[in-house]
Amino acid sequence: MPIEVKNLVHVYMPGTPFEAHALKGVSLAVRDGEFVGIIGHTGSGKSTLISHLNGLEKSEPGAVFVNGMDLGDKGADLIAVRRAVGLVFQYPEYQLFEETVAKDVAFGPSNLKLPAEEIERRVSEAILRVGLDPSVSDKSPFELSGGQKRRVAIAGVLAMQPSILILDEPAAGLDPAGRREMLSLIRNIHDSGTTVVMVSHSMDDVGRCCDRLFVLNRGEIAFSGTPAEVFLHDEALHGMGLDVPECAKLANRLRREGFDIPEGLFREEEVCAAILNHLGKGGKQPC
Amino acid sequence: MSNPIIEAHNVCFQYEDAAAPAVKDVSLTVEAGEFVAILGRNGSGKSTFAKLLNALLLPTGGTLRVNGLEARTEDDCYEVRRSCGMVFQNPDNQIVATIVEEDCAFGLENLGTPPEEIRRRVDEALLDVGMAEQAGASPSMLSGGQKQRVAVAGVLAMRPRIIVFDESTAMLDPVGRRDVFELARRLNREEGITIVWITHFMEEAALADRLLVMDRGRVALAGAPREVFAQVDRIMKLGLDVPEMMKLAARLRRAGVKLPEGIMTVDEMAVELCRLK
Ligand SMILES: Nc1ncnc2c1ncn2[C@@H]1O[C@H](COP(=O)(O)OP(=O)(O)OP(=O)(O)O)[C@@H](O)[C@H]1O
Ligand SMILES: Nc1ncnc2c1ncn2[C@@H]1O[C@H](COP(=O)(O)OP(=O)(O)OP(=O)(O)O)[C@@H](O)[C@H]1O
Ligand SMILES: [Mg+2]
Ligand SMILES: [Mg+2]
Repeated sequence: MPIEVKNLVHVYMPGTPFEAHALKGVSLAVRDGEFVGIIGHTGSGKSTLISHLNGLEKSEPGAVFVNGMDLGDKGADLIAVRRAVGLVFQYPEYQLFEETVAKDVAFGPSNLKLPAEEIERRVSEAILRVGLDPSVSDKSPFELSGGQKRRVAIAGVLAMQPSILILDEPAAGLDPAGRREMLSLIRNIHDSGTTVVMVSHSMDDVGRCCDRLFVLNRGEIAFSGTPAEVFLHDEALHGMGLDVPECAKLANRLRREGFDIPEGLFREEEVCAAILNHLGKGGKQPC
Repeated sequence: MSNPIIEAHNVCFQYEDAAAPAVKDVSLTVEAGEFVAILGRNGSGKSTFAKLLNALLLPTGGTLRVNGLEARTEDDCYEVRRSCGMVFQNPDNQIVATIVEEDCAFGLENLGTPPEEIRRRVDEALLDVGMAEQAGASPSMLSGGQKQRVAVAGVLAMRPRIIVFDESTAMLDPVGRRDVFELARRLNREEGITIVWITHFMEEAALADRLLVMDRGRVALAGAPREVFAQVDRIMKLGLDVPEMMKLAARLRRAGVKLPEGIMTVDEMAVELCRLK
């Protein structure tokens, strides 16, 4: 199992008037090769949760296992864990600091004490993989657009060749074209065998990309399941600051208006097919 | 009857050392009480234009009049900033105090507003954005989304005539996003505050009175959301998208369902489909 979280607790500033119980006993498991989504209202604990997944934060009580290794163990090899788990923070472009793109991407692998050729190979491969033109390598990251900077930050994480990639709102702030490209990049990375965990506020995006969702509410897991299973709880989700994808909203609305539309549909093509079916045009032309 | 509150004539802005202007020959008018959304790909000049409206930057060419005033002196700039409030993309850049309610009071205190008036407006604004419970909390304890709501409250407390929201919902959860958007619409409708709403969410843009699409510093497209989104190829070439319901409508039409043009929202789609039921 790539990731196993057991009864994870996180309290910020314990014992002060500002004490905040960000995680109150969270348990979850991510299976090999899965694409998992984490959704939850602002302040629900998503960023706190993922900061535990590469040993950046420690939990007492509770435990986090990465590839079977208990991160709380005194002897845990945290270097191996950071190699296995690639963490892309919220707005990672603010953390670019090197004078060239290539140097920024090389920062992680350089710390692995790899031979220079290997580092170079990984850097140029990662830059290509995120869809950047190799000619940007020698540019300053600060000359790039927001979407390009985001890709540089992701390339830096990919250059570590993680087997698990965790992204905190990777498409936030990108224009719609940038968002589409970013999601297709992440899907490609997943398709090539990487386990992916993505935090997002976009129900449409997690619906499109994820095999399974975990819903965080006030530091606890409220629901988990396939997107279709989770989106069934539209009213409960709404009460937790969340929503369902646009097409699911329409399907639910039409069902209330007496349309014969099965529950659990949220993809455009399946909602379209159900509407055509109801209108008696189902056989005419498939969606 | 025309009552322009923002008048831009060939407005240009070039950052120091930049190879090209970030805003180029922008001419447009926003009527008092309008709700205008600005769209455009990353780097197209939206935030730069927003900062010009707020006199944080001054045009390097052309003329820009906001609430009847062209910012020429320092005093003008303060006056413009009072009448044109701004909520930024990144809340960390605008939170200054160590307690939420003090942060909201900051602008009013600078204006010398009486304490009881400050108290009333701050309480009301925090309630409006759903942060009343955290009035005494430290902003550093809040998550990104919560900070953003505090920033909105701080601007609301100033009661400006225009509020520019520069991607203020980008970090919020769906309900928070809708709450802030609805708040802006309510302020627009009930108090007549002019809203300039910069966003990458097409569903929000669909609900504006008018859209301006920027591309490489210029206004590339302008018009009612329905007219603008009807130009699907242009929209996609400009790095944007059309609302989900427009895509579904196109798909249904291809399959032979007779739907009128211009369906953009779930409500509109549901109403039309119920007619066919
Ligand atoms: N450094 C900190 N110090 C104190 N409290 C914190 C800190 N960071 C987060 N918190 C609190 O912990 C809780 C969880 O925050 P977290 O950032 O994990 O939420 P999130 O789900 O990632 O939110 P968002 O969607 O806004 O990014 C919130 O209540 C927040 O106020
Ligand atoms: N402080 C600055 N100094 C120099 N150039 C800048 C500065 N701020 C922005 N630019 C450049 O000006 C252009 C317009 O940027 P602006 O931030 O206005 O775009 P935007 O439309 O708001 O993009 P986004 O959707 O990413 O927020 C870009 O090419 C950008 O790189
Ligand atoms: Mg977060
Ligand atoms: Mg911007």
